[in-house]
Amino acid sequence: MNRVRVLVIEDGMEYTERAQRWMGEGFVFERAGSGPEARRALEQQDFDGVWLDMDFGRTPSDLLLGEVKSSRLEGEPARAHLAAHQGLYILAALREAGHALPVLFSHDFGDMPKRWMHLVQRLGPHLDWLPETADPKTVRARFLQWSRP
Amino acid sequence: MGWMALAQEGSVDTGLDGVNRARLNRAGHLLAAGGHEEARGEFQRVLEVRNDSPRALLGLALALEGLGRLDLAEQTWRRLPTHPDAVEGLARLLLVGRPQESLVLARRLQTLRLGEAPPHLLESRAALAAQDLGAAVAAAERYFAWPDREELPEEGARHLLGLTHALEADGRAKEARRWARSVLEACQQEPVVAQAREAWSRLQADFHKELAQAHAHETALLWGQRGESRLEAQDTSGAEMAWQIAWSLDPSDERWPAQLGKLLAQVGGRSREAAMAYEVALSVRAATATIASSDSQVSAPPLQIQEPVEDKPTPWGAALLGLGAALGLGWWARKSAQAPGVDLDALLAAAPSAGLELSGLVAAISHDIIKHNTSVLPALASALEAGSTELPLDVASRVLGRDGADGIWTRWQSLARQIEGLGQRHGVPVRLAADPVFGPLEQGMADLAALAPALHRKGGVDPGEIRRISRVINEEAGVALATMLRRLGTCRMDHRWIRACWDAVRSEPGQEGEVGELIVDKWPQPVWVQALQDDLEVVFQNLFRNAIQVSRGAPILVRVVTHADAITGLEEIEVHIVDVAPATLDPAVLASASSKRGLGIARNLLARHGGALRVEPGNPGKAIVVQLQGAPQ
Repeated sequence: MNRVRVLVIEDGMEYTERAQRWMGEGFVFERAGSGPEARRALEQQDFDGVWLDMDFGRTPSDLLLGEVKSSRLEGEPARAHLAAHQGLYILAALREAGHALPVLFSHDFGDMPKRWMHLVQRLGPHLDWLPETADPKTVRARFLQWSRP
Repeated sequence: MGWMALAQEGSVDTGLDGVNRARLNRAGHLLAAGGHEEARGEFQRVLEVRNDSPRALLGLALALEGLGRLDLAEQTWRRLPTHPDAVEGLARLLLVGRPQESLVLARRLQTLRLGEAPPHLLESRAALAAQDLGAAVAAAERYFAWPDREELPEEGARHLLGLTHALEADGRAKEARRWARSVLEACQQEPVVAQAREAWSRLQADFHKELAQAHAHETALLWGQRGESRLEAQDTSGAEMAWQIAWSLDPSDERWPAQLGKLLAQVGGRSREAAMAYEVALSVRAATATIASSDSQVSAPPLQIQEPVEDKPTPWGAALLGLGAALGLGWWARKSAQAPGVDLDALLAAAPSAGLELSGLVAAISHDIIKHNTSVLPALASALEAGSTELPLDVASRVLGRDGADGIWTRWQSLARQIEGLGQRHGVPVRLAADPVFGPLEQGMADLAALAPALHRKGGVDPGEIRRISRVINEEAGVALATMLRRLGTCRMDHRWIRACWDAVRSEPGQEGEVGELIVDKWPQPVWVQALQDDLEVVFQNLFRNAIQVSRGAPILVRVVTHADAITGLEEIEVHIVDVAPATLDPAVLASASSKRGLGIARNLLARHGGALRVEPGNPGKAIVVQLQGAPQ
């Protein structure tokens, strides 16, 4: 069986290091630290799926994708909003660029069914989530669903 | 003082007849009683008989000083250039105007008074007056080093306090603390003791600020434990510093000042400092008890002196118990397993405004402790079962830290103490062990930290125990934390709630007159927003007050509008308050509204929750629009 190639998009290194250390053989993990970096990675390499963080608080402002349309957010609150939901802006940008590969969100949408439905409608269909606190074994099982014979 | 006494009576002045000796004695009494003018006359009469009488000259100089004739007094002192009392008198006189000369005289005095207690304090005063801080400190140190020194006089104590302030102003806080402590312990005059206590408290607070900054990423508990271990190793100064750090990191925990007080009471010569530490411990305890007893929902144990239980005997145990009993502090010798404290619900009930900060700390725990660390525990258990050695070592380093970096245990301790500190700032004695979510989490983290060192040994840890801890931390506490996070700062708004806000304003005194109706136009179902309910009540009540004022009896209309952001799917909630008054408000007016007026208050409160206010012109009238971020239901 081919090894599953996963693009980890996160503002730190924690997910990537954890995956490399704890998920064992059968996977290749590459990391992208921002939306633009993720786009480049997907243009240059083939991946079976994306593991996507939501909050990119450590990413420099000029690398954050998206713009805030709400008039209640201006200045620093707008930047904080972009960083806090950057995963969704990155996903929207990837979808817009034609990348339809499966995406596993590391975020708990468990009590937001209405919002999740909205997201699947707009950014699906290959969209899934696990809470940030999911253990590596559970995450690994999701990644294995992306494996190709 | 010796030289003054000499001026009064008791020493032999040869060459005087009985009348003049009696006159000299009378003059001395007059001088002592403050009769400077009469004393001057008597001394001068003696000097008319014998113009080199030392007693008469010394007395005359003192009388002249008392009369404010300092120039004449100086001349008189100078008539006895080798008499130690005269040199001392002159040195004192010159302290203010000519400190350098005063310093020279004070040093000369040491030679003139060989065999007596050297005038180190006078020298120190002169040096300080001459702005020679180093010499002032050195002389003061010699004073304390003199084996037969007399009790610290009030004048000397005041000088040492001045020295303390000078050192503090010179940025030498550490030395300043030492001198404040010296005065505190050595001085017997109550007014100066009070000043010394004040100086000591201030310097101690600064010292704790520095310590807290230097050890910001460490935890009080670990430093407290280090203090105990240093004490066991007979390293009292190490123990003292460890408890000072623990105290600085968690001022809300009475154990650290109490431990420090116990230690200081034993080291000798620091009893007042020890008592002050006890007083702090008591005040923390008293505050805890007061708050606990004022809240009937709080299950705090009553404040009482507990019977000694399982006290580890120490070389100074007996003395400690005696001192503790004397101070009514039997409790401090106990471990704080039964320390009172409330859970986070009680904190939020007592101080809803703590919710925002609490949510940040809970998020940090969820992110730093669980998301990126303890979520690997199930995989660790599997690795242990498979006989892997690398991964257990990795977890051990994560928990305990490596290469000088903090592990999650330290991080956890820091966050946990920050939550308790948050309670302290709001006057609520939070104790995480009492919280249904954090209590088990704290225990789980402690279990993990205790077990982590054994991960270095193959077979040293039972995988089942790891799974149990994982269930506690990741599943039970993790889920509870996530729920808490969503609950914190989430407010449910419906048409009844908005009407209740309206009714509260309408029933205020002065609103009985021209108040129109509130028409809830569109509010089909409840909405959840990210904000504190108390804050939102203030926002809407302020806006309603304004609307009533300008509407003059006309109805006011409220409607809610929701829409989801196209990308994030987050709901935006808008509440429109429509009145018939002309739109005199524009965005600039809104933005510049005073923070003490209704609009400004509303604007600022909303901004705290990521919300905003805007104004839209209507026909007729206008709409004030409250914008809020939606929250999960």
